[in-house]
Amino acid sequence: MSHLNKILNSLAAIGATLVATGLFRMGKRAPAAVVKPLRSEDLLPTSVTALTDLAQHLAAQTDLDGLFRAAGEWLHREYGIQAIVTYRYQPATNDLGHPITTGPSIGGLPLRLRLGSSIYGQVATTGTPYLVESIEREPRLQGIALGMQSAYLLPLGPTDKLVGVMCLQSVRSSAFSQPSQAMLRRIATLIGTLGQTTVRYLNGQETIRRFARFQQAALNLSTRLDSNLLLREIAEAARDMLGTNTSILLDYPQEEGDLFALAWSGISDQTARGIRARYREDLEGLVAWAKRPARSSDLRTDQRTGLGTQVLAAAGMISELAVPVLFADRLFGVLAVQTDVPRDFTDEDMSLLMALASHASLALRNAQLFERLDQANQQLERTVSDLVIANQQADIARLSAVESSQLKTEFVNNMSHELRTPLNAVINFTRIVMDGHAGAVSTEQVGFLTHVHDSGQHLLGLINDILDLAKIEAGKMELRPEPTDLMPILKGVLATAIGLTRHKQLSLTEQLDEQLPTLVIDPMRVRQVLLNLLSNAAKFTDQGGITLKAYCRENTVVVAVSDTGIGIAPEDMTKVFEEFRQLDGSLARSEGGTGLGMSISRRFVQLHGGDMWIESEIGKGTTVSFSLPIRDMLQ
Amino acid sequence: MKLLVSIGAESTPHRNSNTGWIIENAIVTEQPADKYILIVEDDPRNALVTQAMLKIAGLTKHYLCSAGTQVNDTVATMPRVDLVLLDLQLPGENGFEILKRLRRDGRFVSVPIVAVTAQVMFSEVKRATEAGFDGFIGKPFSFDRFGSQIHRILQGEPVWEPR
Repeated sequence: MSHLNKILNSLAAIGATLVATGLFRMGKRAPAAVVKPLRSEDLLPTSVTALTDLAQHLAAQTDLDGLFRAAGEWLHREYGIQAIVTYRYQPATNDLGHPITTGPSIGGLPLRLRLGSSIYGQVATTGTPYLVESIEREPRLQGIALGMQSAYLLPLGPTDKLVGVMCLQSVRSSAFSQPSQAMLRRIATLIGTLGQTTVRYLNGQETIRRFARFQQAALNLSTRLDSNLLLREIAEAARDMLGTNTSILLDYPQEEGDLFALAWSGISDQTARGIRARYREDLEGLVAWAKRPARSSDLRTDQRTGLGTQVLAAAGMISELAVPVLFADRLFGVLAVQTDVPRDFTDEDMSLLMALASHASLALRNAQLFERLDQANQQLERTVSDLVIANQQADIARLSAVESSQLKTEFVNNMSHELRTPLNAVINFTRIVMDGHAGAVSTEQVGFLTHVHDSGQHLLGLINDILDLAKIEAGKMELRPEPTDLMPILKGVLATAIGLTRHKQLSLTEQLDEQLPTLVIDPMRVRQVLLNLLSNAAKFTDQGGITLKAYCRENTVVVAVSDTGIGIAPEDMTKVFEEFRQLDGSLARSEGGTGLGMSISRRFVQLHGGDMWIESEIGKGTTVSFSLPIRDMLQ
Repeated sequence: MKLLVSIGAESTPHRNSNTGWIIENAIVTEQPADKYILIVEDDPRNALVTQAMLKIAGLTKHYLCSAGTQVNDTVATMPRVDLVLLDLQLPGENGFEILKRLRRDGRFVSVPIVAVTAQVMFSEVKRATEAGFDGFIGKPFSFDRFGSQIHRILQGEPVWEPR
C-alpha cells in the first residue's frame, strides 16, 4: 500500500510541477503558441496519461534493471532524449555498476565506476544533479554515446537510499532547460522512490531466499548423516545464502593447530588444498582462537592475511567473512565465505552465517556420533558375519569330518574283511602244521611257525583295534549294554591274566569288593578294556606283580589295575591315550602291542559314561583306573 | 549250560528262531563223524582250512561248493545234510540269498545253517540273526575254539561268535 501511495504522491508532485510550469495541458501536446516553451527543443512530457503510463510502467518492474530500462525507454520515447545511461548503486561493494543503456549502444562503457573517481560517483555521493552543458568541455564524463553534446546526471533517490545514477544525453548542447531539469529531477525522484521500493522488495526477496536456503540447509543438515555430504552441503549453503563467489569450511583437527580446508564451494580443489590458516595468527585462525566471527573487506591489504587467505587473495578473492563452527563451546572449525569484489559483509550476513555454522556443528556432531555408531554396528555386523562364516565352516568341517570318518569306517571295514580272509588261512594253517596235524615238526620249525602264528595274531589284533577306533570316531560304535554282574567278568579276566603273568613269575592279586552292584554295561567291551589293561601291566612289569581292584565310589564302580612296572614319566602321561603312541616303541613292539589299546579302552569307558585315568611314578609302577556309572535299572 | 549231547537223526528238535536249537528227548545214536556238512565257500584256501579244521575236530564228511548255483548239485550227492557252513560274501548269489532259498527248500527246514564270514561287524551279525541263520562264526577261525563251536552247533546250541 505504501508503495502505491508513494507512486501516487510522486505523480501528484509531477502533476503539480507540470501545472506550475505551464507545461501541462489536458489531452494533447501543448502547442508552442499556447505555452511558451523555454526553448523550442525543450523536452516536455506529453500528457498526464503518459505520466500515469510511466508510473504504471515503472511500478510493474520487479527488479532494478527492468525499472531503469523502462524509465529510460519512457524518457527516450516521451521526451525524445537520445541516450540514457543508468548505473545501479551496489551497496555490497559501494560502487556503481551494471549499466543500462537506452538509445545507441555505447562503446567502452565502464561496467563499474568507483564512487570517488567519476562524475557519476560524485552525483551518487553528493545526491546532487550535475548538468553538463557541453560534453566536449567535460572530458571526465564517461559513458557517453557518440555525438552527444550535453548531459544531465541525476541521482536516483536520496544519498542514504540511493539506487542509481542516471545520465540523460542529448545531441544538442545545453539541451536541458531549468524547467525541464526541475521536472526531470522530479521524475528521478519518482524512479528513485520506485527503485527503493524495488530494492526493498528485492531485499525482502533476498531475505526470503536466504532464509529459504537456510531452511533447506538446516533440513539437509539435520537429515544427512554422511559426513562428506554434510560438509559439502555446509559449504554450498554458505555460498548460496550469502551470494558469495566462494566458501570454505576449515577443519580444526588439532588443539591450537593449523586449520585446513575440509570442504569448499566455488574454488578449485587444488586451490582449496593449499589453504592453511595458523591458529591465532591468520584471519581464520583468529576466529578459531577467539571463537568469534571476523570480517575482512580487503584480504589483499589485511594484516591478518595468512597462508590461507593469501591463497584466496591470489585466486582473486577480496572480501571475507569467517565464523566459528562451535558445538557446546567446542570448536569444529571455521566457516568462511569470500567475494571477488569488495563487499562489506553486514551484521545480517554474519548472523546468517553464524546460524548456519551452529546448524552445521550440530549436524557434524550428529554425523560423528552416527559414524561411531555405524562403525560399531559394522564391527558388530562383521563380527556376526564372521561368526556365521565360522559356524558354516565349522559345520562344513564337522560334516566333512563325519563324512570322512564314515568313509574311513567303510574303508577300514572293507580292509578288515579283506585282511581277515587270508589271515584265516595264515593263522589256522600255521596252527595245523605247528600242532603236528600235518605230520611231525621239529622244535625249530615249531619256533618259526609260532612267529608266523603270532604275527598273524598281531595283525588280527591291529585290524580289530583299527576297526573299533574307526567306529568310535564315526560315532558308529554301538554298545550292547545289558544288566551285568562285574564279578564274573573280573574273575574271567584274572584267569586269562594268569597266562600273561606266569612266564614272568609275577604275582597276581585281587582286591574285589564283594558287594558290587549290577551295572548296565556292554560286557564284551568291558572285558576287552580289562584284558587290555592287564596285558599292558604284564607287558611293562618284570618284577613284583599286578593287582586288580574293584570298589564302589560315589555313583560309580571303580576298577583299577596296578603294577610294579617301569612307570610313566609325568610328561608322557597325556601321550598314553594318543593313538599309535607307544612310549617305548621297541618294548611295545616286542610285546605285540598295537598302540591303540589305551585309546580304545578309554573311549569304551567314556561311551559307558565313565572315565579313565592314570597314576604313575617312573620306576615304581602304574595304576590305570576306570569308572563305570551305577545306573538305575529302570531307566 | 545246554545239555551236551549229540543229535540223533530221529530226534525231533524244536527249532527256536532266536536261539537256534533246543534239544528235547535227544538220543545219542550217531558219532560226529557221521555228520554230513555242506561247506559253501568261494576262497579255496579258506575252504581247505575249514575242511582241515573240521577233520581235526573229528568231522570227516564235508561236501564243498564255491557258489550258490552249485548248492543243489552238491546236495544231490550228499546222503543228508546235518549242517551248512555258509560264507556270506560269494560271487553271484550271496549268503543271505542262498539262506532264503534253502529255507524254502523242504530238505533244509530244520538244518542248522551257520554264517561263516570275515565281515565281523556287529551290524553284520545282527543282519544274520534277522535273516534266520542259526549261528555265526567269524574269520579268522579260532583254532582252539573251532571244533567246539561246530560241535555245539550240531548239538543245537546257538553259537554267535564273530571274533
